[in-house]
This record gives sequence, structure tokens and C-alpha cells, in this order.
Amino acid sequence: MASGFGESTGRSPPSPSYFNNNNNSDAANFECNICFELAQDPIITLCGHLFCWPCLYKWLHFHSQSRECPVCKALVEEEKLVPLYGRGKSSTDPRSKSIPGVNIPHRPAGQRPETAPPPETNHFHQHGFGFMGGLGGFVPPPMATTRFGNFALSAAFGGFIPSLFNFQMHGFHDAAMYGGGAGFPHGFANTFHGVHAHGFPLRTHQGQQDYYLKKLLLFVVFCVVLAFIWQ
Amino acid sequence: MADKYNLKNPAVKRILQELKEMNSNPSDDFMSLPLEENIFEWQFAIRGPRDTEFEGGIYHGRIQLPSEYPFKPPSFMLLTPNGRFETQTKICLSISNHHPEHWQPSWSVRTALVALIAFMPTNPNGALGSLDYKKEERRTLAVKSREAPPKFGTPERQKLIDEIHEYMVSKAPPVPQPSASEASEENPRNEEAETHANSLNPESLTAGEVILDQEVDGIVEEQEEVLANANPAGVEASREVQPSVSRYEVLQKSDTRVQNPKPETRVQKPDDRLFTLAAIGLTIAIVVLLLKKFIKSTQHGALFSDGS
Repeated sequence: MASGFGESTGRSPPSPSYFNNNNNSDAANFECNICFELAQDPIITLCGHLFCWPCLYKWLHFHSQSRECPVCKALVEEEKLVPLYGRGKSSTDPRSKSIPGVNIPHRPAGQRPETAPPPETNHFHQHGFGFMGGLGGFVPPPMATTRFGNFALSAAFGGFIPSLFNFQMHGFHDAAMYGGGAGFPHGFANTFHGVHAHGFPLRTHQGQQDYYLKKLLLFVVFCVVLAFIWQ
Repeated sequence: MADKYNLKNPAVKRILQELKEMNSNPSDDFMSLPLEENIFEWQFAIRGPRDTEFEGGIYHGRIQLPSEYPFKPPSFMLLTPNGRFETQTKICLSISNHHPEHWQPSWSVRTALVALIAFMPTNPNGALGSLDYKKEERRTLAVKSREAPPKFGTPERQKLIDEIHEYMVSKAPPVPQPSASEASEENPRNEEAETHANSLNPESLTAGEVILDQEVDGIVEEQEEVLANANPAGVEASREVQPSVSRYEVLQKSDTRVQNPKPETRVQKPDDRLFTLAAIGLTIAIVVLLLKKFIKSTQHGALFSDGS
């Protein structure tokens, strides 16, 4: 039996030195699911599976009949693949020449969302400070009161627009109910793209919270309209 | 030995990678080795799934990998009579080259052998290369499969088969004794008595128990390995080696699991915060408007009293 095991051990081919046992478990997290090597030109599908771009391209364009993920059979759309940009330089893959007369195109580019908006904390604080100043002006004569009224009205409008914008981000699936959405085509497009790019489905709890927020917003809008009519 | 193979061939690199993994993580359920002269042909042996009529059996076979591997599926051929698959005939499975449309490049020889073990107790449904023997006949064949490995091919292949058989005999426990009827009991007993005179000794039973414990550990390790490889199909196949589970059900479960990713909660927090702040601001504006309205009403009352 010992000799048999010896033969079994001797029969295995020598592995590259950089693939020792200590690093094997760590490197496996970044290995392509098709060639089992460290991924070159790494790319990730929406279902989260990692491949080399040449391996995935060969599978999608030459072997797969329904353009499915090689691991879980989910539908793969090339415009929704996410490349991984590490610190290494992008090198020409010699395997792309293994198919005669076929050139593998470049990896799909990442879909970069818009730059994050600057923080609005300071702006909100200034807004509140303005309100405080306005409240302090109750006692002054009628001329001051008129100025106060204008300021309040402007504040009301200013508060309304961001609310609409943020509301769309949450309830974009109900955008058809609010005609006001058409007034912000750029924002709407960004919101739609962002939601799909991330692919985060809303949880039940999140949906419930959104429902309450919608109710609150409708109540606030109703109060504003009532105040204008009353005036 | 690496010089013998063309390392520029992606199929060869993939096969060498699989071989390295199988050597570093051996399993008690199967063993597989390629020929030295042709790395695209592997000899394997699988252990019969436990709690079935195949338990204790050691079944040999051959796998032929295509030149486009892993983009094309391999072919499988059983060499040991088993009562479920024909011998010397390529068998029809969703993982074999009979159905290239069902093949997944992420599957490997390891996952194929795990699936083959899982397919043993399933209903053949008239598939090509399948047999449907009775349980007693299958158990008899299982006992016979341990006695000697099958004869196949060249002396090099036979040497490989003998080596694999020796490894599997040391790992797999003997065929369990059925207690249903004495008629079926006598035949296995007689055959075992002929080959192992000490099979009924307490020491032998103790050794069997020890082997059983080792098997349990091996299976646990195997599941962990499969999880580490992020291969849902493999996980399902190794977990549910039961008579009622079929390959398609396994795949469906894998799909169901993968298609329910956890939603990200961090990205939504800033939006919630902005929305809340906007709502608060709007509420304050409304309060201010109402107060202004109240002040005007008070002034109107004052004017009325002045008039009187």
C-alpha cells in the first residue's frame, strides 16, 4: 500500500512554485470559474461569478446556446458585466490568439455612476438658521411682516423641489402616478439607471418604510395646498 | 513531467489545475487519475452511495475529456458491472457529451464524479446506457465489485486501475448485511466468508466503525471544499445523495438560491436621510405659513374693534 501511495504522489505533475499550499485557498477566491487560473482581465456577471474575459467571451460567443452563466445558468447580458480594475497593468492575453482568425474584443467598460453630490449638511443648517431668524421677527411692524411672508413662501417652494427629486428615487416604480416627474428628465434617467445598475431589490421593510414616507409626503402636500387656499 | 504537456493549451492547463486540486484534497468517495501518456483520459472509481443497495460497492470507469475542454462535456464509461449503468458503453447523463447543451464550463471531473454517485440510486427512465436491475442483484454486484478490479485496456491502464482499486478498498467500508430475508443473507455471507475469514471478528467490526467515522469526516470536508469553490451545483449534489433526488432538481435548487441575493442596505441610507430632511423642512415651512395666517386673523379682529 505504501508503494502505491508513493506512485500516486510521484505521478502528479510538479506545480508552479508560486502556487504553494498556503496561498492556494486565498488565490481560489480570485480564480476564473472556467480555467481555474488566476483571472486575467477579470469580469463579474450580475449573479456575482468571476471569470477571465477571454474565457467568458469564448463561452458566450462560440459554445453557449442560450448565453447563460457558466456556473448558475443565469442569463448573461454583456452590457451588464462589471470589470474589475486591480493594480496590475492590462496585458495582452496570449490565449486570445488560440482561435485562428478570431480576435477577442476588449473587455466591456465599467458603467460608472455619476459623481456623488456634495454633502448638503451645511446648506440645511443655513436653512434652519434662516427659519430661526424669521421666527424672531414676529414683533416688527407690517413692512417687516411682509418681508417675512415672502421669505416663508420662497422657503416652501425650495423645500418642495428636493422632496420631489428624492421621492422619485424611492418610488420610481410608481413614477407614472406623478406627472411632476416629467419636469426632471435628467434626474429621472439617472435614478432609473442607478437602480438597475446596482440591482438591489427593495426589502419588505424598506417597502413599508417607503409607504409611510409617501403617506407623510402626501399629507404635507395637502397641508401646503390648504394653506395657499386659505390665504 | 510538465515538459511533456503543452502548457499553452488552455484545456491542458485546466486539466493540470484540476489534477493538482484533487491531489491536494483527496476524497473518500472517489478517486481519479489520468494516464501518463494521455492527460485527456482519466480512470476513476466511485464508492456506492450509502443507505442504498450500492453501498460498499467500488465501481470503476473511464472519462474521456474533449480537446475543447472545459467548453465541451466529457464522456463517461463504466467498467464494473453495477446494475444501474451498462459497462463498456458511454452513458447518457446531463453531464456527459450526449447533452452538450446542458454542460457548464465550471463543472469539473470532481463535480462529475459526485454527480455520478448521486445518479446511482435514481430511476433510469430508459436513458441510453442505463440498466434497471433489482435491489438484490445490485447488492450482489456491489459485493462482487470489491473482490477484484475490472480488466480493461493496456497494461498501463490496468496498473492505474489496480492502484485506484487498492486505494478505494482501504477507504470504503464493506457491503452492509441485509436483514430482510435469510435467502439474501446467505449468499453475501458465503461470498464474504470465502474472501475474508475474519469478517465476523469483533476487531473487524471495530475497524469498520473507525472507517465509518473517517467517512463522515471526509464528507464534511468535501462539502466545505465545494463551498469554498463557490460551486452551487456541487454543493447540492454532495448534500443530497438520496434516492429521490434527480440532477435537474439539484440544478433548480442551485438556480433558486443564486437568484436571491441579499439587497444592499448602505446605498439606500443616504437617500432615506435626504428624504427625511426634506420632509422635515417642508413641515416647518407649513407651520410657519399657518402661524402667519393666524397673525393676520388676529389683526383683522383688532381692526373690527377699532371701528366700533
